[in-house]
Amino acid sequence: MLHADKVYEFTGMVQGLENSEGYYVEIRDDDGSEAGDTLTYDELDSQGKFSAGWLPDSQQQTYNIFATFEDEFGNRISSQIFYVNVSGQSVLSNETLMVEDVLDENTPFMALVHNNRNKDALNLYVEAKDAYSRMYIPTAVKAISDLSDVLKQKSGNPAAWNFRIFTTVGSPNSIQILKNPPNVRVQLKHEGVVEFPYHG
Amino acid sequence: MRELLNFRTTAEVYTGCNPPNMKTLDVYQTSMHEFIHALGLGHTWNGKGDMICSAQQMEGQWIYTCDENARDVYPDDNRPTNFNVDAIIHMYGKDGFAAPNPGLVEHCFAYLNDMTTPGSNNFTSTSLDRTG
Repeated sequence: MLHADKVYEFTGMVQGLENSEGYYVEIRDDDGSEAGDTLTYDELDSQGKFSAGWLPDSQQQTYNIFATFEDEFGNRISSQIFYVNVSGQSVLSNETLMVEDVLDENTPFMALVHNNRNKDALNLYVEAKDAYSRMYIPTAVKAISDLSDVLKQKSGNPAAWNFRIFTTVGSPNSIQILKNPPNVRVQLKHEGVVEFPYHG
Repeated sequence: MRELLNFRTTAEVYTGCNPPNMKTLDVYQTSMHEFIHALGLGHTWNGKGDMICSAQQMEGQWIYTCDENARDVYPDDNRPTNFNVDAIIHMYGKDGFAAPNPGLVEHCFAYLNDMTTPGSNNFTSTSLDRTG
């Protein structure tokens, strides 16, 4: 039995591929449709291994879970089906998660895009690209630190949402980058004409 | 997986043009706005005071993603809205950026269905469209 307030991880390996990079494994729920409902997925690494996280939906009591892989010729290989039950409450205590089929542009929404941030803490570089912008480095650092604080507070997890912040004038040196590869670079710039709208 | 760990995004924040130079508050808000983008959130089609309202080019025209009268009006307390924060937590989970991150998707839309329910703290439910 699974619990709806825990994150589960599907791991495995696709064998027999000469080059596994660029291929994906999907974890699906056999819901009676031909293809099944995709719950999560992961890209294979160079060894053919995958590791996909998944949070059960408390609104759904049972899942018939299987892993499936499609090669470049359209051949599909699927694992056996695992029958699981879900209990407990959703991890999002004040929210209800549902799956919608249609994009409703009349309802307030925001777009989410895939960003691979999968380590804690993220290395963040705040770079002033000119002498004038140097004075704003503390301002940008404070904005990001404040966002970190809000995420810690709202998630109830003060140990997470960490940023390792490095500040530079100009570009960071290569040794610093090698030791702490940047995940996000925030560049403060004065030069150039700012066209409407100035914040993207 | 190493490529994923080192995945990098660059966010640009303008500190001034000719004229004028930006106020400190502008740089603060724009830094947070751009950094939220770097974490994976797009602009919000939402109400006044949302941290990531902006203007966006669609079909050759710039349109505001929030009420035109509310453009560039960020929260008085300089915090992202609950909608913004909940969307980030939904994407990454309560453990933050540490793997696994079950909500990471190639592209989807998070909806704010009800902003008016008393006691909801401006956020009662989201739904996800996974068709994108």
